[in-house]
Amino acid sequence: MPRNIWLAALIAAMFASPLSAFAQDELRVVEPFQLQRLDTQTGGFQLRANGVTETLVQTNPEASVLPALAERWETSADGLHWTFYLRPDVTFHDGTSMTPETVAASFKALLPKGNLIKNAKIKDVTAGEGTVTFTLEQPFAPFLAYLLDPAVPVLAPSSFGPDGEVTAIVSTGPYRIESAELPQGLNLVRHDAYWGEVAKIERVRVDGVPNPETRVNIALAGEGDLVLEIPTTAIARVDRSGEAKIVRAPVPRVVMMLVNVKKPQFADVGIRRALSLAVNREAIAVTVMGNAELAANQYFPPAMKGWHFDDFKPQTFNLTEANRILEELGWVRGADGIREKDGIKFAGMMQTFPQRAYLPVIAEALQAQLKEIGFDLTIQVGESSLIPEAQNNGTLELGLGIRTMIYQVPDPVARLTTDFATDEPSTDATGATGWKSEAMREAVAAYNRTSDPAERLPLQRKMAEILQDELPVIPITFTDEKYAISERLEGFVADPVMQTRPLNHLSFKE
Amino acid sequence: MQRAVRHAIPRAVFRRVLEAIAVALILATICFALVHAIPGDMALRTAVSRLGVENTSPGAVEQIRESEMLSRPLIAQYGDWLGAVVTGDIGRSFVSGRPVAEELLGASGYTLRLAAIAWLLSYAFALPLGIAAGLAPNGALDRATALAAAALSSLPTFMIGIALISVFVLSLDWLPPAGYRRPEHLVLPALTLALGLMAPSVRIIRNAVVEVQDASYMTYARIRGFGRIKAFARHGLRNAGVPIVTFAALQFAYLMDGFFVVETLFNYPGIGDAMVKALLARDVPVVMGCALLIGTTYAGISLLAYLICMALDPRLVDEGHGSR
Repeated sequence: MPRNIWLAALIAAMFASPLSAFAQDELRVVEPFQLQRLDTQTGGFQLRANGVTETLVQTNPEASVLPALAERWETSADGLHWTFYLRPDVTFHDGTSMTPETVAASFKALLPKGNLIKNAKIKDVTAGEGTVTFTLEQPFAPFLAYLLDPAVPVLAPSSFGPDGEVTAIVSTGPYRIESAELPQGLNLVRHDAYWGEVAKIERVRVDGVPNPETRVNIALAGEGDLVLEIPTTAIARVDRSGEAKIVRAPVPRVVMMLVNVKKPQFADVGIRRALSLAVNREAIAVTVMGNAELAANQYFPPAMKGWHFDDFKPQTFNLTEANRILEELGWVRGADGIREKDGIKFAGMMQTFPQRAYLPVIAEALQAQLKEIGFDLTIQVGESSLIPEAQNNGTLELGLGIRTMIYQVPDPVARLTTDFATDEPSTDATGATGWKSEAMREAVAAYNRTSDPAERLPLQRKMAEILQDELPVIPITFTDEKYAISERLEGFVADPVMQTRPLNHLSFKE
Repeated sequence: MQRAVRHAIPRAVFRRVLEAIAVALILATICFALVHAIPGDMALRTAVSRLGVENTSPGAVEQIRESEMLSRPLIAQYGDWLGAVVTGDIGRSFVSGRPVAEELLGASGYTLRLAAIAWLLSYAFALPLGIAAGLAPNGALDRATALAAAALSSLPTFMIGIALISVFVLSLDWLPPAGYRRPEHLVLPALTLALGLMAPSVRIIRNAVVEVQDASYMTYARIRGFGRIKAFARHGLRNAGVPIVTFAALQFAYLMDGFFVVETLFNYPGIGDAMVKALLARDVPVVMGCALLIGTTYAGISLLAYLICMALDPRLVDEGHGSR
């Protein structure tokens, strides 16, 4: 008998505690990222996107900066002091009030952990009468956009341990963290004292599911209300399932061929132009991305007003012209159809990674298309970090990567700086390799000195033109975000600048 | 005989514990060597896993290189890890920052649950089918189970999983496709593993039963007037148990292989999932922690099987198995 009791206790323990109850009325968000640590440096973007953290400003779908925890702001004449007037009656998730002192203390603690905001070179943050003032080392016009660095939200004093390290995420967003099951997911609950529109759905479960097919199965089974990054191949299946509908939204992301211009076969801009002309972007956009309009004839997508220019000469598919350029440059076809010049083979290995399922497929399409102009492309699929490693040690020939142009900071110049106007080593599969342009650096610097849109527009055009003419990277296709939205959910509007997914606006149908 | 067993068991346990420690350390050392043999920058890979590919700055990479002391010679890193393990500290994850012991404790709970259900499920099917097939060799059931076992054995685990998802999730809408929060989340991963385990088990059980049926003591039992079933239940079952228990222990290796696939497919946060992610992220402390855990568990299961075999057939002690 006692043996049976032990056995029963063992079985009960195995099936008990961790299998928590499932609430039918909770919003189930399924995203491809798993949160590794509950801190803003690691998970800042997910925490903001899911409505947990906020900062002084926010963006609208046009990527304009709007008030959030600050009602308004002003800049000193020399551009060194930015003063923000805080919204009154804002309450943190722990019930304490937001004050200028708590906001200044939060920035002081988090700024050293910031990512892109470090470019703003903030010297000091001080609390005033209902205000917080930032003092910069030098004028920095896009400061408001950089303030949206998700690694630096406004956190309550209870978020920090005695050593100043973040021990909990207590912010002001429409949802607060009830519990975290890292890295699998977060359980969120409505912040009833939210200063803006209080959420309609009380509870949210955010699950990180990296495997795209598993996310598709979750959408097909009706087990997720908002499922992110559905692969193109699964769109029809999800739409037919009766459990969810696909919502597509263009996002500011380009798939591009990274070219090491220090390699002799890519050094001449004419060669890069020939490679670009040999790419049938429309075919790739239709067959791989499921939308002909995603063909990338320039670096910035049409939705990015002021950065995309309709009068640019498009990089249209033209094999005759590509072959003519190569002949003119002295690249001669061998018996095997592959070109050569001075003993150098017209060939290269393209590195790419499978985390975005379409990348290896596009690489194979490029392999077939570039063969038409006598280019021998080999493909290596590995981890995404292999590309920056190869960029930094000089072994990269070609890469196929992506760039989300206003990821985290809603101003493309933040990423243009790190990708095309820096001597720092590359850390992601996005930037130029072996290419340096003083004109680009000057344009970026001039842009950072002015906040006047009229002065900025020609600089924006200049930067886009340099990329179009010199092709340090060859744009292939843009991408769109594909969300599977469950039939019971309403109110979802995709954020084209990918800064947030306003969960507080969502509700379940009656 | 009883006295011999009493003396043999502590010796066997002691020997197996020493073996477990040796196996775990050798496995962890091999993992350490293999992870470092993979080309690429450890600090960059860790930074990408921790921060995401579009959020990794040169500063972050250097910070990780410094904080995790990745610039030191490998022998020094290994020596420090070994020294810490002796004190019971198996380190912190490079990616999550949490103690490896804490991470593995959480993950092993999930895996233990999955393994236990899969194993029980497989033998719930395999035992009656194997015994029935063995009692009537070359009969219809024997041939049918041989065919089914061959088919299931030839299918990779992920194929079985995808087939089950297609049927029970997408067609019948009976079960959830992935997750770990509700009891029904365990059904498909456990069934996927169970089907893979069951295929060879049925044949092993069947062969053990056939062998026992031909033994002289079974003939004697039948001469004494016992029917086939009763003779098998009284004399055959215990004897057939030894190879079955030994094989069941060996199946742990298959089960571990299955965890890697099944836990990824069903987004189930167990040891297999943790190890795959740790390998991709070059999270050396977690990889080595997993190796220690897998090594000691395997040795523990092997010891358990050994003790059960000695209990089933005390002649094994007489033959010197316990004293070696």
